[in-house]
Amino acid sequence: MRGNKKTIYILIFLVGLLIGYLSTQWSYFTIDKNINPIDSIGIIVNIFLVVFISNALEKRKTENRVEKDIIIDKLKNIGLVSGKIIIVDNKFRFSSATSIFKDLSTEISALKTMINYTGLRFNENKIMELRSRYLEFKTIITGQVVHNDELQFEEINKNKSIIIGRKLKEIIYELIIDCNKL
Amino acid sequence: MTVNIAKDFSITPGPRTISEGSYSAELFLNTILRAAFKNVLSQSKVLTVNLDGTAGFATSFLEESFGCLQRENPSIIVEDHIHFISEEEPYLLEEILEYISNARK
Repeated sequence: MRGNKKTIYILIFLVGLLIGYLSTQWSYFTIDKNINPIDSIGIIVNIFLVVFISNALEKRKTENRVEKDIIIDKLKNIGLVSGKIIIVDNKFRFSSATSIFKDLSTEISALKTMINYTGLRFNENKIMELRSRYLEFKTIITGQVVHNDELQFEEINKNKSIIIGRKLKEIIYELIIDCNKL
Repeated sequence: MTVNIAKDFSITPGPRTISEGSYSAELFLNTILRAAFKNVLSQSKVLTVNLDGTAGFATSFLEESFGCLQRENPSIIVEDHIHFISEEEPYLLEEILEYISNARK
């Protein structure tokens, strides 16, 4: 970062030197007082193109930002919903789990639709990984034995669930970072 | 023939076995799915299973219902005779097909 700044300062200094040199050599320049209509039209067209292109690029950049923000919000929401699974005393309410995983599945599916719609180029493997992590998480949580509407976790499965849940969150964070870089 | 799980069985499908709780996969298989499947097989038709409208499915429910159906009918490819509908959770279809496919192994 510091090296970059130094290079910029040196460049500015060199440009300054050049301008200074040219201004002392002003006598070498000749100014044509006749206006060439073709050149004038060329200049106007160039100015118009510069303004038009920069406006179009700015508009596209703003649209891109909005699309990215929507997808990031969706990813954050997936993270929040998955965070609702907290195993206490090796138990978790069965009916809550099935409903949370339905929400998660719907959200992931909506995310995929949004990504396709915006045309943002995500790493397809990471989207697939999000989906497989979700399924892994659902399988370990809702695959446990149920008693009195409570999923019963053996210690080993509880620990596995925590690890899988963490991996799901990690892939969500990676996708958020990737989205910002696109 | 159509089986709508939310309407014909429960909007809160339960765990794997009857002993684990109400509206289990075992109960669904015993009271609805097995009979409906046999019926369509005998008529060479396709059974439509609508998965929408419920509060969500546990992995164990889906595996026990459709995986078990495949294990009970090893000479048949179950998914050739069932048409699944899941507008709310499109990924559910892949999930169920995976359980059926695993049951054939």
